[in-house]
Amino acid sequence: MTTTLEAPPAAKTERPPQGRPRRRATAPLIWLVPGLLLLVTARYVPTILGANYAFTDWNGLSSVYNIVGLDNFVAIINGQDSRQALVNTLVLAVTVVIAANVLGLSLALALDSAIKTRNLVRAVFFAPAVLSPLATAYIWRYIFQVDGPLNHLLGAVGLDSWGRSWLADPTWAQWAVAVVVVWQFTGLSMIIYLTGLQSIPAELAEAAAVDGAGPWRRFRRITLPLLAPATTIALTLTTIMALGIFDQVVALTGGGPVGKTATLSTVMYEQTFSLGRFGYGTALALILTLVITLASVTQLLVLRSRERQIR
Amino acid sequence: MLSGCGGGGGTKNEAASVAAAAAPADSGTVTLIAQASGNKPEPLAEVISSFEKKHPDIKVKAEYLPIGTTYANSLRTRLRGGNQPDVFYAAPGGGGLTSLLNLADAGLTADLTQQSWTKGLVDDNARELFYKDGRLWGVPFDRVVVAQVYNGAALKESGIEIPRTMDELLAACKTAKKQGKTMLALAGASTENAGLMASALAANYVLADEPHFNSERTEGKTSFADSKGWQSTTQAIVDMKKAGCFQKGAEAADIPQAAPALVEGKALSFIIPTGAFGALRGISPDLKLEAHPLPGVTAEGTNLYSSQSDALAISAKGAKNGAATTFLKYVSTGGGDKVYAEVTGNLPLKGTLDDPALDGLSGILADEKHVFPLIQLPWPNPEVYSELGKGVQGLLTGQQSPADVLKSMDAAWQNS
Repeated sequence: MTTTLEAPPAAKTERPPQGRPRRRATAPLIWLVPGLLLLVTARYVPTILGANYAFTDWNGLSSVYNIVGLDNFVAIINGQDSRQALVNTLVLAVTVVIAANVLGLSLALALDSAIKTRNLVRAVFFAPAVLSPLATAYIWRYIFQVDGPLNHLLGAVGLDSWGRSWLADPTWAQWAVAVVVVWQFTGLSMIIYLTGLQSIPAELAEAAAVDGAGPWRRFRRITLPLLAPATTIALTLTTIMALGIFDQVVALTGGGPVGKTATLSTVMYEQTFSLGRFGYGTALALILTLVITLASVTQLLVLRSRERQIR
Repeated sequence: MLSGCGGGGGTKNEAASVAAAAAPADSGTVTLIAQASGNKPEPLAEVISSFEKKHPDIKVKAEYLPIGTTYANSLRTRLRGGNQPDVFYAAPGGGGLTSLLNLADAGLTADLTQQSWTKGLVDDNARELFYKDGRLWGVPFDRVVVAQVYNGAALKESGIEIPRTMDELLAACKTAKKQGKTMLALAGASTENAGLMASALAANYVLADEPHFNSERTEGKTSFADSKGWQSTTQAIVDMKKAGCFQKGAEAADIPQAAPALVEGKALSFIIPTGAFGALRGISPDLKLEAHPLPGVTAEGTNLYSSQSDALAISAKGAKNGAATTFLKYVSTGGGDKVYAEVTGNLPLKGTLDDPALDGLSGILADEKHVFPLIQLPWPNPEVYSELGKGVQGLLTGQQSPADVLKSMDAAWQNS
């Protein structure tokens, strides 16, 4: 006996009935107009207008500035600090996206059960996602400090030599930051995967089990393919959030030691608001926007294509 | 995206118009913004209270914003965005975001040159920080002293004598370490505090032999990397680290972690402006503080920073408000500076302060040859000082060599 692995009919996108009157279909668009207008005028128009500062040497104060062409972009490409920040951003993003999604999915699988305390446990794991990144980063900063709980714990189990100044250690600082960000993002991906899991009919897994498929095969052949829409959302969201990471880095390390944890966002903030280089900072913001757009659109296209294949 | 408040910019080479401050008036309302000092009560609030008692027909509405980028960007936005306060705090010199001379260049401050009460107000050694093109753009209201401030009780308990030379300091560091304490608290993750420690060393190593370093650096006759004084300054930090002068984890510490180490006596001293006395005493009212100069190579070659390093300015909008001029006149010449000094621990513009914590500085403060303004105040942009602060952290973690730090500072200088 074989099991046909197809998504249930309910999971397919429903199309509106062909005979539905056109007037009703356009009605929601009219209701969208005020919100869209507000979004475009308050967000996109100023953003596009502000982009021209990337081609100037404006210091954020003077009424006089010069057009410098692509000089800011050339300085970013040639600048050691900005290059390091780009590498740091990518390493942090890849680490966080993989770890947060693997952990989130694992937790979702574990909590998608009938245990009595599941709602409490879900809330506990989801809590970091709704807490202020700054507040939680300051708590972690205390945990990581040289006389903090982590080093005390290591000492208590005889690992004193492992103790260090985690947030100023050139090797470990970026991993310490990654731990905090993963801890904060895992709850969000867990909830997305849980939602996806709950939309998968239990009958499919039961039928596969009756056919003799083991837990791993059921997960690989049934659960994972049917989780594709949730995976797309979770991966895209965590990628966008991880590439733009700012609060946690500022609160934990300020980008240090000597740029080891600096990200494109923190360098952009520093250059613009601490050093007054608004032209350079705007150019960096454009590059960050480009990186996030490219990464998320590519990821979205690949994942959507995978979803279509599964259907 | 950084669209921000950049409106009004232009590429024309227009000259900023200059407003002259109005003559002092006896009534009116003055709006003021300043950075929060960390002292309780807020020292400027005490000055305002004292001013309003003397001038009951003038009301000052003050707003205190968090120190650092929050204040700097709020000030710049308000000055550029048409929501100007009449009076605001500025840093003398031209290198930082709130620097007086940058704001003057942008036409955002009123010219105070014609006010007769400002004559002789600015010290000769601080003139280039307040004047540009022969015009006065702000007034000082205190004298900032940067010193090695000791926890008197902890120092006495340790039995360590106040070091008078760098060699003695390094020896004292080793002694303190053996006792389970550290000689110096350092907030190595704070660019400001780490930079101040390095700057205090430069007062001894750079200004002793190269008193005109800044002007020569501006003219391109020298560089940080070529300066023997700066080479010695950065090497001294490495030597101090090796001698165990700083607390464990200093490279990751911020001011809220380092300051309590001094208060609790775990660290014997902290290099800070004496204006932080108020904040330290706020943590522990019984704290016995003793300020001394950070020792140089020799006792005779030891220098001290003491200069008019805080300013109040009148905005272009406030130029029409005579009450704002009256307030500045009171702060600088009417006794406001003394009220401010008593709350903070900084010195008033004339004379000294009756505070036993400052007794260790009385000798050197009277010796003009060994007293300088902060070396970083005339630097052309904030990035140079930022690189110095980061460099201290890099020296402590071993990521940078002294030569790397100086090279970064030279590169930052070019970004002006």
